[in-house]
Amino acid sequence: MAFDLELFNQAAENLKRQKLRSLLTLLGIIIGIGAVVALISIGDGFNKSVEKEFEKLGSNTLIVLPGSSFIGSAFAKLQESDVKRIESVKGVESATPIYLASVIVSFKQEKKSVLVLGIDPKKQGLLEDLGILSISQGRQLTSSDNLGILVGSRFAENQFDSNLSVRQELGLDSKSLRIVGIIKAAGQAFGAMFDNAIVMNYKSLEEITGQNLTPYRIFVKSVNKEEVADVKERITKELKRAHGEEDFQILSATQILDSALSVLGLIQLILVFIAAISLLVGGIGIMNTMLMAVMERTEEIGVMKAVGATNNLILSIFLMESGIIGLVGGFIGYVIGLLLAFLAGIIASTAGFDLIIGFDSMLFFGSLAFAFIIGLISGFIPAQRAAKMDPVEALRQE
Amino acid sequence: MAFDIIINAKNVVKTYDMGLVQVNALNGVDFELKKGEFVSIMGPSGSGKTTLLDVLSVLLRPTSGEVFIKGKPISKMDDNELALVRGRTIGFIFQTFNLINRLTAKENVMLPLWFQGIPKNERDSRAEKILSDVGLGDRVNHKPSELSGGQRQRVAIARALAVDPEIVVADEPTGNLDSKSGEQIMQIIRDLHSKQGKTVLMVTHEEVLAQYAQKIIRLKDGKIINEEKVNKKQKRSVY
Ligand SMILES: Nc1ncnc2c1ncn2[C@@H]1O[C@H](COP(=O)(O)OP(=O)(O)OP(=O)(O)O)[C@@H](O)[C@H]1O
Ligand SMILES: [Mg+2]
Repeated sequence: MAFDLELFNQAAENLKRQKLRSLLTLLGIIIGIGAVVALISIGDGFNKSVEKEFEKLGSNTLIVLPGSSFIGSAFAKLQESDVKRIESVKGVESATPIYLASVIVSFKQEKKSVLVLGIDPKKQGLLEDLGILSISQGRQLTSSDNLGILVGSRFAENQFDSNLSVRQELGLDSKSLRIVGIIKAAGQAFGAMFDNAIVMNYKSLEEITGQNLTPYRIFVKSVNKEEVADVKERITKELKRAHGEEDFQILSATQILDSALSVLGLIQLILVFIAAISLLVGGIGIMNTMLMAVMERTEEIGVMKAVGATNNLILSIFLMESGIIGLVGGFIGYVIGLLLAFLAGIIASTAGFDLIIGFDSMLFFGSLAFAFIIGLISGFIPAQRAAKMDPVEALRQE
Repeated sequence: MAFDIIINAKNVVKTYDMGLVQVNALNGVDFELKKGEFVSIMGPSGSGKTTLLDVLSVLLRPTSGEVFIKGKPISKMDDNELALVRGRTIGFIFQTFNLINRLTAKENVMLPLWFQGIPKNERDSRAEKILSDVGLGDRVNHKPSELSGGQRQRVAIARALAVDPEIVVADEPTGNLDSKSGEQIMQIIRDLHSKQGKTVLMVTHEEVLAQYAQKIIRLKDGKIINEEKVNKKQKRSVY
């Protein structure tokens, strides 16, 4: 049957007359659609953000980390010499290690244990290319900065009671570390590590801690994107030969992206499943309301049939009503879902992760259509009952 | 003319199966309703008057026998066709009015027009005209609950007349009204027959009202036991 505006208006009128019950019935659909919309919006936002992040990181990047799935990273170590070894591999443009240690520093009255990342000042350009070590104030490290440090933006704001700024000093035992620059907030996974830490020359870090540090990560940049997989293969071979076993892992940006997205996909799937259950409950709610409406309006149905309403029309009237319940529920659910997603976006951004939430017309019309169809399906049995009602019996009811 | 007989019932039986017992509401009824006639149906309570009216107005299918509407057997029509024919040909007036309480007087009157596929603005103007014809021009936007019994029945009459049907069927139209409103309603029904030439089929308990018709049919135990013409003299005495 073609869409009948008349029918739609009549059905809408009927529903308007019983606002409260219609509204209660909507609840299930609202929750269901709201959940689906929120989940899909957040999921999409997350996907987009992650993709954007890895675009920055670049698809010609490889990250080497100690430990494999068999050998934990606590036992396996990368060596400083591995950096040279990797750089000697064909197709590698450059490689730089990052060291990690924790030290106790003081600022004014406060004393805190903080993370320090050690880098090679000469290779800062590589990290900057990866979008994780850009300076917002002050300057970069130089090879002569023994006790000069960079601090992450969040570190500068949150670590101590008062904000840190360039040229201030942090105490470390009898020495003092001088802030030469502040790192721009990166808003992405690897950058987040730098946001919350002190960054300094790794040689000085070793001196300060008195430890012989081993690389925490080695960032590798291949000459071109196309060769990344081959380069990864060659580095694996080379390090395996040197270490005697495969006690390390090499991740490529795309690989990290894929695994992050597949975990997300799984979570989304589970949540969508939960949403589906609430939609089912919503559908049953609609069915219940419509069954009640059909019972209450028995006499009316009898009258309508007596004065010439066909079974098909009665069916359409009730189907349309339940469809509209679905549609309205879908609309409200969509709005609430999107608001929730925006809220999640705001929360995520205060936590330093920027979630890209937006209006998606596909999702909008998809949810409306979906909710309408749920309404139709749930309303079918009640509508059919109304259509098949015997007019004489219906009229006899008082 | 073939269509002189608008409704024709042949050996109609209507049986209600009540589990242990079977109730024969109609027990082999033959009946012809001619165009332009005014027929009253009388009989004791439970004699099958309403059932006969329902069968003749194709609201109810007989258990056996056949009903022809304008020569067409209804056993050959499906429920949807029957509804359309009914909506076009027959206007119902019920004892209990059976208006839809959620709707205003006008909306009630517009309903059968909607079922006939008449566009909204035309429905609107037709409903208003008919309501003012029955003296309710100032009550079009009232709900049934805001109207008196007589006014409600006039809305019901307006609804029955909305599609300009050939036949008006009334089941004890004054049964729930006081005598004054009842008189007004009867006046309208008489005018439908005499002035508008409608065919009228009316069930009533009151001999006086039955006399308004041209013909009285008497039912007992689901059977027609008597069919009499009303002569003019008797008729005059009622006025
Ligand atoms: N749906 C039904 N189920 C069972 N029996 C029914 C049903 N409808 C009618 N009957 C029976 O059929 C018989 C005729 O009923 P009907 O309503 O036609 O009588 P009536 O002449 O209109 O009576 P009244 O003057 O009281 O309105 C009655 O015995 C009634 O009990
Ligand atoms: Mg009766």
